[in-house]
Amino acid sequence: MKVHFEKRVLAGFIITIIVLVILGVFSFNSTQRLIDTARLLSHASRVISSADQITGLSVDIETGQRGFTITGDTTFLEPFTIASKVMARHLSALDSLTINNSLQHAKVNELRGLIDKQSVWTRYIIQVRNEGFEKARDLIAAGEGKRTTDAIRALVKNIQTEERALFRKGNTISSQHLQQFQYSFTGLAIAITLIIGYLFYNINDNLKARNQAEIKLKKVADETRDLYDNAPCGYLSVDSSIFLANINQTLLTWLGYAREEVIGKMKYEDLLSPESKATFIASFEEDFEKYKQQGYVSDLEFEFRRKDGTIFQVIVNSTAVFNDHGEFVKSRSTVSNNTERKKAEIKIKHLNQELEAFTYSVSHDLRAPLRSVTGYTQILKEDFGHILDPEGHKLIHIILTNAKRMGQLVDDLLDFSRMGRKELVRANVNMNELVQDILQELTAQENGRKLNIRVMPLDPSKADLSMLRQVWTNLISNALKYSSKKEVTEIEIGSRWTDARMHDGQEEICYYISDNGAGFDMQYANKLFGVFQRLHKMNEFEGTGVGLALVKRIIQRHGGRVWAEGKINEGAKFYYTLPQN
Amino acid sequence: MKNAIEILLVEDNPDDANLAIRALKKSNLANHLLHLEDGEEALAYIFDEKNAMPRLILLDLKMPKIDGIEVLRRLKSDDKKKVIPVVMLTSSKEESDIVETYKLGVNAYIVKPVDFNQFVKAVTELGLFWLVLNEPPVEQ
Repeated sequence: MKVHFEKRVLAGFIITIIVLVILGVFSFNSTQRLIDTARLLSHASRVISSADQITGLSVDIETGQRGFTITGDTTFLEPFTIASKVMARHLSALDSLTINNSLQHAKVNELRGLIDKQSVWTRYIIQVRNEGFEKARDLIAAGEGKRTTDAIRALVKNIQTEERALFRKGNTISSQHLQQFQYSFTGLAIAITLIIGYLFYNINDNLKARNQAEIKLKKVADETRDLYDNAPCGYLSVDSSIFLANINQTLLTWLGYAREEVIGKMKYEDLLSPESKATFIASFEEDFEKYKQQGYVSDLEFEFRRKDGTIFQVIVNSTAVFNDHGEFVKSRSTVSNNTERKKAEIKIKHLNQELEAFTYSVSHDLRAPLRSVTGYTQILKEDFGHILDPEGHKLIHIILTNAKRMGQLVDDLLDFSRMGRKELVRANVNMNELVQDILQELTAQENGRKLNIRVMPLDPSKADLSMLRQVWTNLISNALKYSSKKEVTEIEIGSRWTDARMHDGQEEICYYISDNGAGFDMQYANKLFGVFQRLHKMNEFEGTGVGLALVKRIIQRHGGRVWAEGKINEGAKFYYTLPQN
Repeated sequence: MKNAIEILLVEDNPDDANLAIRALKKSNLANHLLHLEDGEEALAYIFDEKNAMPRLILLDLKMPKIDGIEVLRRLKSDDKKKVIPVVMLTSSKEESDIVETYKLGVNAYIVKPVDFNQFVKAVTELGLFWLVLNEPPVEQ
């Protein structure tokens, strides 16, 4: 559209210029012709006029000579005297006017001859008259003088006729021509007016559109600026000189600096606290190289120092911008205030330490009295069993069973809490080996049971080996436990890759174990993985209700999911996933 | 050497100590046993040159004044005493405790079972192992 417009304007200007040039040439030509014509006209009229004068003077000379001849009065000779003088001037004028036309010039020379002849004749007559009237009269009557005068008159007429013919020949302008010129001139002028009008309309239109676009652009720019400056996080850019190239208002407000104090004057490290700065500088070269190679850094923690010297915690994320040659141009960084999170982190750390101390003391202090309860009850049984009646023995049995159960609960709870604090060490785990190993261990205790256990080839996984051992141990022992009342125990273990598109592109492997045991009611499925949550009575199946909670905790720490399907008396199927990327 | 102390039991909880002693007695291992109640007493006894070196030390972890870890550190950093086998006999199953005591050179780490029968079994087995089966270096 814009190109179209520019072409139109250019074409308009070119046409205007062409029309103007045509108009100019046309006008110049016409004017030139008018001037030529005027010159011709003036020349012709001057020739004609001079010739007329000469005829007049010639007649005057003739008339004066006759008058004197008749009367003998010399006053009649006056016109002759005057005309003779003036005649030379007119002849000379005529001579110079016709100098460029040889034909006319020859005629003028002939005329000069005739006039000389008349002059000589006239003087002769005057001389003769002075001797006597009759002789002069006879001479005049002979008609020679008249013949000369007639010849002059005829010649002048000839010159004038020729001059008129020359003028007609030379004059190229006619009234028709003039009219045509006027029409053409008017037409071209109108054309120019139209073109200029069209151009004005177009340019004006375009200017209006541009103005509107500028207003729009400004609005968008303002909005973008507002988003940049007043975003709820800090933005900053560092250019290749390592000086700050840009910073938003939010970050400036946090820091307490004015824009002019920062841009092009401070380096990124100048925003840091002395401690943070030292760490930053120490590893800068290595980190910067990595940043350029990777193109980004995420979640870096820094301490920023405000202008007033106070310090606040931030998290910085940054992407690098490169030019076509792959050279670093600038960084684009977001800065988020991390003070609250840091505080929370310290609080969590504190709480974790407290929890650790608590579990430690539970582990030590709670087990010791329990051991005393079971130990001394046992001693009571051993040393004083012979004086106790059956009811006494039953009570001793209840104490021992419950103390033992409590010991188990404490141990399981400790395992559970320890699993949350234990460091996760990922390595390649051969699931087939692991599962076979655990199966061997667990089935060794199940003498006399009919077991049909199918293990499909299992995908290896990146995970914490000891934690996964716990997961499989709990799941397999559950499957064995809850299917123990069936005639034949059916257990299947397998794995498959899940469809990554269903889980935000997360590549994960799903492992499962199914059994044909007691199963469970799906409406309580959500309770399965809670700590101390049990769906079966103690006298049906033993257990503390920590096993599956532990499984869930381990899988969640790996970033996976865990769920179960089941039906009462038909069995249960447990699934868990482990992300792989 | 007949009357010398064979087992030194360091345990602050008398109830637990009695249980251990009873368990050892069942296997006839408690004849030459000395029970001390905290780390300070234990160190004083061991580093008193008048006393003969025990053949086995059963050491609790959490004790008043000087705890089991500190006793272990002092023992194992002493050229003469570090040859005495030290077995931690404790309620703590904490990974950090296990790792730390092994770093200091403990010879075994036993978590006391809550169940008395298992406790008896554990104590008997460790007593038999260290006192009967194990060959100590010849005393100079």
